[in-house]
Amino acid sequence: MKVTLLLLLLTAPLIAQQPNNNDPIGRYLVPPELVMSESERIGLTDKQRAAIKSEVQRTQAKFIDVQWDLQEATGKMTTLLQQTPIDEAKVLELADRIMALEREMKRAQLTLMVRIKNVLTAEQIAKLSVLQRGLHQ
Amino acid sequence: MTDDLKERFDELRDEERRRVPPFTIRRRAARLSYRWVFALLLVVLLVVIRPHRTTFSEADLAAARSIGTWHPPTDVLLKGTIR
Repeated sequence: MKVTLLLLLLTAPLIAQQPNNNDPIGRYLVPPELVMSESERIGLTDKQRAAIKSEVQRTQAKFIDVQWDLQEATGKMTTLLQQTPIDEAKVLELADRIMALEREMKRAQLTLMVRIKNVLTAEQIAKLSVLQRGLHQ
Repeated sequence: MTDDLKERFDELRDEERRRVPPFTIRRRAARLSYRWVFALLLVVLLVVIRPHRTTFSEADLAAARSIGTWHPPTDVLLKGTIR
C-alpha cells in the first residue's frame, strides 16, 4: 500500500504532463522531463545529454523572459475585468498582447520538444513510448 | 716566503671551499620541484580533458517540468471552465 502510494506520488508529475491520446499534437511529442528522468533507462549518450540540457536551459531563459511580460499583462487584464462596465476595447487590446506572448511561449515549448525528439534515436523514442504507456496504465 | 704565501693561499681556498653552498643538493632539489610541477600540471590536464559525464540536475528537471506543463492563461476561454 505504502509502495503504491509512493509510486503514485513519484509518477504524478509525469502522468500530469502525459499527452492525452485525443491530443493530435501532444501524442507525438515526448515530455522533456520524461526524457531526462529516464535518461539511464533509454541509454542517452553524453552528447545527447549535453544537447538536451543546453536546449532546456535555452528555453527556460526564454520562458522566464516572456513570463514576466505575460504576468504583467495578465495582471492588467484582471484589473480591467473587475471594472463595471468593462472597457471592451482595452480588454481586447490587452488580450491580443497576452495571446501574442502565449504564442511565443508555445513556440518555445514546441521548439524544445521537437529538438529533443530530433536528438533521440528511433529506438529511444520507442522505449519512451513504452514507458509513457506504462505510466498511463 | 713563497711557501708561506702558498700556505696562506691554501688556507684561504680551504676556507672558501667550506663556505661554498652545496650546489649539487640545490640542483637536485630544483630538479625535484620541476618534477612536482610537471606532475601537478599532468594531474590538472587530466582533470580538465578527461571526458566528464553530463548530468541533469534537479534544477534542469524542474525547468523541464515547468516548460512541459505550462498552459496559456487564455486556455480557459476555450475549455469552457468559466462558470
